[in-house]
Amino acid sequence: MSEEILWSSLREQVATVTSGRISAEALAHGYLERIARIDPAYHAFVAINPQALEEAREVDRRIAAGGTPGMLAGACIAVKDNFATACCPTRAGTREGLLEIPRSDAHLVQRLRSEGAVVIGKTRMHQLAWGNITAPANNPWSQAHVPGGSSGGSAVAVALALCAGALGSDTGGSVRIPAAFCGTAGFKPTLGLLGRSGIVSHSWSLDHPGPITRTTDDAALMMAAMVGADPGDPYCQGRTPGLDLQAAPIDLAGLRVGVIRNHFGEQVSVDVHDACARATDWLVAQGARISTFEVPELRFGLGAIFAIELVSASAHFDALVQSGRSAELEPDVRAMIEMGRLVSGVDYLHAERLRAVLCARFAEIFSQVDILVTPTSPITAWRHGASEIEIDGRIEKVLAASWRFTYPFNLTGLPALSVPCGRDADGLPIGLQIVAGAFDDERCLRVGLALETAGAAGFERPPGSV
Amino acid sequence: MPDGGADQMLELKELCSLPVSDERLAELLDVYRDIHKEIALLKTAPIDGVTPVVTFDAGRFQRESGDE
Repeated sequence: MSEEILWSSLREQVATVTSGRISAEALAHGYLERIARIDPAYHAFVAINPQALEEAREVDRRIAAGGTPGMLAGACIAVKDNFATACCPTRAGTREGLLEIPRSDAHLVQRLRSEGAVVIGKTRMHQLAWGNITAPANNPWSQAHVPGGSSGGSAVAVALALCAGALGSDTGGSVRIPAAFCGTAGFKPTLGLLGRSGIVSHSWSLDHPGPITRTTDDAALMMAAMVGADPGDPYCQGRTPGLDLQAAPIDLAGLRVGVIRNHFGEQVSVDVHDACARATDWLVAQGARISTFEVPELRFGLGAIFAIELVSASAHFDALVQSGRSAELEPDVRAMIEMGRLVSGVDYLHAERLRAVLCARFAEIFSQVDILVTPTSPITAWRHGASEIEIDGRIEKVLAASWRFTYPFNLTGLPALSVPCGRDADGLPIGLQIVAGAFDDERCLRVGLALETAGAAGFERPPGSV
Repeated sequence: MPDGGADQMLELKELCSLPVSDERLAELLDVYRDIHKEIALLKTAPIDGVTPVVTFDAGRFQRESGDE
């Protein structure tokens, strides 16, 4: 079997398996061989599903019997290590024995399997989904650079064609940032669209699961397989939008595009700014109309997300702190888990009030525009070990810079897609973020698809990734 | 913030239910000071009269837009 099929889109792979041109078993075998050959240099996976081939054979039996194989028939999906799975242990990046996670499938893993997907393995993540480094994983475009995080392993696996698509989770940017740094698509849907039961929580009101894929169309396909009620997640609204991007393409003429000048226009690296400006110009050339906005309240956003995230994580992992076992975490994550105890209740509620202000401001903006465009991150991937970066003559910590443009949409719960829109002077990928109003997820994805179809954005194979 | 005196450190740990050593608390406070600068800014945010969305209800926005 040629490895070309492994690079093809998830949709193409499903069509190939469903039509019988290749078996699901052969596809899974191809990915397992590729992982064994390539992953030792990138460390995207922490576990391989020992039953992957048997799961694939079951898909083949369903097809042979004339049954309905599902919309993801034979698609090999990698799953971030904070989604519980029956096939592999789940550790959320912690050492064995620290967390007790049941050996059963999280709701979204069940949804994927029920549509014929094969879980190929579990991907490396920054511990407890709190950080953007995902050590020791390497960026597919340069092994000297980080892949981003916290869903770094999922983005690496997708970028190197070690799977057809992957699951990630995003509390402040953890799907979109690694997607941008590794040159893939990454989608954070509206809060409440996907069920989260069975995911190791980080912050109940900020956590968003989402797909990481090579194309926006594939992200929509994974979303279509995953939407629906989740009785185990009170946030999940059970909506089932169509998400069929194969229907008529979006008409960009007259599309109302918003640009927020403050916050998203400040301290952006030149290469990132220029690449995102080119993508925006392309939208304008297709007839989109640009409106600009100021959201001064964003200057309080960092304090708000810190307060909410710290308190939520400390509450969720309080048993670890009280028992002294938080000392078994990595130093950076341990500090975050323990520090939530220092945030006052008043400050926490101030943060929730600021969040309500931001939600109202963005609702007002989305009454005037269809989408917002921003860079996904003001920077590209940084070298392993780097802690600071110079942007526009100012020094900033890489961790602080990397999530500056993503966390506002965790606070507001709005859908946000990152699509690759070029590379910087060092050849590292740049992401464009497309944001829509609440539950207007399909529009986000349609605009991303339009950019990809026209070649104004889209996945490229990393150099040397044969 | 405490000045690092032993009594104050003990009191802070008790008030915050944070069972760590004095040394560890000092380390945490060092890291937290920078974060607290951002959190403290919230006092000056335009939040007067705003009801906190303690239980975040994403559906709220959909209802407000009339597209229920």
